[in-house]
Amino acid sequence: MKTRRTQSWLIIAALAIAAPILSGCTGASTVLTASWPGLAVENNTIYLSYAKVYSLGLDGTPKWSFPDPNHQLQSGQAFFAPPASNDKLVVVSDYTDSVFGLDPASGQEQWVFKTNKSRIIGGPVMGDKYIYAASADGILHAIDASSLSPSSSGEKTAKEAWSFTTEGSIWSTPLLDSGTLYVTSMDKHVYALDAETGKLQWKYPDQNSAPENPALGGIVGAPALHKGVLYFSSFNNRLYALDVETHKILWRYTTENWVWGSPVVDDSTGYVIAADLNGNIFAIDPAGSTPEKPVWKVTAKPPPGGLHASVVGSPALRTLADGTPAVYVGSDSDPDLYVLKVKDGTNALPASPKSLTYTTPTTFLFWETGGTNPPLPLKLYPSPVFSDDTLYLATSEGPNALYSLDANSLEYKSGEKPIATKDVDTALLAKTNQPQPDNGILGNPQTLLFMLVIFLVVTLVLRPGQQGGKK
Amino acid sequence: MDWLWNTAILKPMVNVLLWLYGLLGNNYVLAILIFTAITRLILWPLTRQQTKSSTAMQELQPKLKKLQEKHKDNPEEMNRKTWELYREAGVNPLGGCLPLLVQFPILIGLYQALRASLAAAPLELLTLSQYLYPHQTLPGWLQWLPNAASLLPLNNHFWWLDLSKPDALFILPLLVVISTFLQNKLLTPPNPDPQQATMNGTMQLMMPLMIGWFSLSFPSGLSIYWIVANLIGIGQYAAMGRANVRNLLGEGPDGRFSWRALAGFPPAPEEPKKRGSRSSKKK
Repeated sequence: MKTRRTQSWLIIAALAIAAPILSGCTGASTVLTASWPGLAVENNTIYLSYAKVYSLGLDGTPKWSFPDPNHQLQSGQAFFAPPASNDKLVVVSDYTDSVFGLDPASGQEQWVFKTNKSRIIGGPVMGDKYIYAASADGILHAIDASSLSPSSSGEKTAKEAWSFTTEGSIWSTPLLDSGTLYVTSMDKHVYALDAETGKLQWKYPDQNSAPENPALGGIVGAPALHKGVLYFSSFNNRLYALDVETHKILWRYTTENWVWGSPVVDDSTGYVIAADLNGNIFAIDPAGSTPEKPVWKVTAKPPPGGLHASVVGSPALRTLADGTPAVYVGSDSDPDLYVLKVKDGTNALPASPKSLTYTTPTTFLFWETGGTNPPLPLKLYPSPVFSDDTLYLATSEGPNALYSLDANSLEYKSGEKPIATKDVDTALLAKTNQPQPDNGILGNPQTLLFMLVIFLVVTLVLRPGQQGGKK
Repeated sequence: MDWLWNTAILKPMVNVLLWLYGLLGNNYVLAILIFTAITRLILWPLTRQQTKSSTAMQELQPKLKKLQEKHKDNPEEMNRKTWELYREAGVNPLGGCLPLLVQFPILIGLYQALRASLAAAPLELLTLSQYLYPHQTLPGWLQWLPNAASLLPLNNHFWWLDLSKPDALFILPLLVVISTFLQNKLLTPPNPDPQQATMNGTMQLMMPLMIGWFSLSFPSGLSIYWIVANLIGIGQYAAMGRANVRNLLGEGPDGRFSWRALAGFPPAPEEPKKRGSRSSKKK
C-alpha cells in the first residue's frame, strides 16, 4: 500500500511535469498565433514582422532580428504589424504596449514609447515631425522622438506630443496625407485630425450626417484617399466613398462579406479595387454611371468542403512591363495567386493564376515517416509587396514565412528554399559564433512560482513527512 | 469532424450569445449570465439524473466493500454478486456516464463560444466572423434578431475589467478559486476511509488552485463564466437537497474546527512516541 508520503511526492512530480505543459496552453503562447505576418520593403531591405521583427536583404540574407537572437520575447510580446521605415529609422510596434525606434543598419533599439498597457495592432506611420501609432484602447498617439529621456530601466523613452481618443478600438494604420491624419475606428467612425496638433478637423458620421441604412459597423481597415475621396469599408458589408470636403457619402457598394484590407485606387483608370472575406475581388468605377455595381468581379475558389476563400490583405497594384496596370491578390485557402488586369479583371500574365502550395512530411506521433502529405495552399493574409521585378509574399502556414517570386513569370526566385523565420536567428547567431539561447522549461518564472505554491500547499497540509495507514 | 462540431455546436452557440448580447443592450456580462443559465437549464434533467446515479452508487459503497472482502478470492462470484446488488438497488453503474457524455460537448462548446466571441486580435476576429450566420439568410421569423456581424466588435468593458484580457487586479481569479472550492466542498460528502478522504481532499484543494492558476491567463470574460457556472451549479444542487453546508464548517471528528478538515483531509495521525522518551515521573 502506498504511503501518504509517496502519494504526496507523486502528486508533486505530476504537477511539476504538468505545470510547464499547461502553462503553455494559456495566454502567453497564444499571442504568437494572434495575427499574420507584416511585410514591408524599403531601401533594399525586407522587413518581416512575425513574432519578432526580421531585417533581410532582398535575396533573403538575414541582417538582424529584434529582439536580437540572444533575447527571448517577453511574455505576451509579439510583432505582427508591418514596420514603418526610412533611411534613418525603423519603427515597429508590438502586442504588449510598445513602439520601438530601431537603427536600420543594426536593429539596435534607439528609443521606446509605451502606451497605457494596450497593444498596437495596426502599424505605425512616420510623418515629418512625429510618428503616429494607434493602440487597441482607441487612442491615437503622436510620438515625438526628437528628444529622448532615460527611463529607470535604462532605455531611452520618446515622449508623446499629443493623443486623440476615440470610443472604440483602433486596429488600422493611420493614413497621413498633406498634414491630415485619417483614422478609422471600431467605434464606427472615421476621423480627420491635424497631424501637427491632433485637433479634430471632422469626423464621419457626426450629428449632421444623413443616417445610413444599415448603420455603419466597426471599421477595421485603413482608408484609401484618392483625389479628395476617402474610401473605407465597414462591418455592415459596405464599401463607402466619402467626400473629404463636404463629408458626405458619394456612393456605397454592398459587399457579400467584410472587406478587411484597405481598398486601392488605380491612378490610370481611377478604379477602386477591393476584396472581401467571401473571396470576391472587384473593381468599381467611381466615375461611371453605376458605382454601386462593379465593373468586374472575380471570386477566389473555395477550399474543398468549404464555403469560400477569404481575401484579407489589400490587393497590390503594379504596372507590368508592357504598361498594363495589374493587381495581385492572394487568399487564405485558395492556392491560386491572381494577377488581374485592372481594366477588366482578366488574367494579366500567362502564369496567372499561380498555384502556391507547400508540403509537410508525414509523421507518426513525433517521428517523420519519409513521405509527404498532400500539398496545402499557402495562407496569403498580408498583401504582396514588390521591389522592382520581385514579388514578396509572407505566409503564416507551413515551415516558411517568406517567399520571393519573379513578378512577371511568377516563378520562385529564392532558389530551392523559401526564407524561413525559424532559420533567421540561427543564421544570425552562426554569423557571430554565438550559441543558441536555451532557458529550458524552468526558465519561465511563472512555472517556478506555480511549483513553489503547490509544494508549500502540499507540504503544509499533507505533511508528507508523516506516514499514513495503520500503526 | 471540425465541420460537424462547428455546425452543430459552436456556430449556434456563438450566434445565440451574440443575439443575447444585442438584445440585452450590448451588455456582455449579462449575456454570459443568461446564456450560462439557459444552458444549465437545458441540461438540468441530465444533471439531476447524473447526481441521483452517483449518490446511489455512493450509498452502495459499504455493501460493495463487504462483497469485495467476502469474495476477494473469487472474482467471478464477486462480479455476479455485485451486479445482483445493482439490480436489487435499481442502480445502473454507468447511469452517471451518459449524462456526463452529453453535457461535456455542450460545456466545451460554451467555453469555445465565449472564447471566440472575445476576439481581441485579428485572427480571432476573422475566425469569429466565419462563425456568424449572415443575417439575410435567416428565416423570416428570425429576422427580428439583431444582425450579429454589425454588433462586432463587442463592448468588452465591464467595471474595471477588459473582458478580453486577464483581470489585472486578480479579483476574478480569487473568486474562481473560492467558487470552485465551494462547489466541490458543498457537493462532496466526507469519506470515512482515510485514504479516500486524502485523495478527495487533494482534489478539492488542487483543482480550484489549478483552475485559478489558468484563470490568471484567461480573458476575464471566461473567468466570469466560470464563477457564474459554479454559482448556478451550487444553486442547482441545493435545489436537489444535495448541498451540505456542514461541509463548510471544517469540523473534525472531535467536532472542533481544523484547517485540515476544511480542506477535506482526515486528521493528521499522532506522531509515534520515541523510545526512551521521558514520561512524567511520579513523586
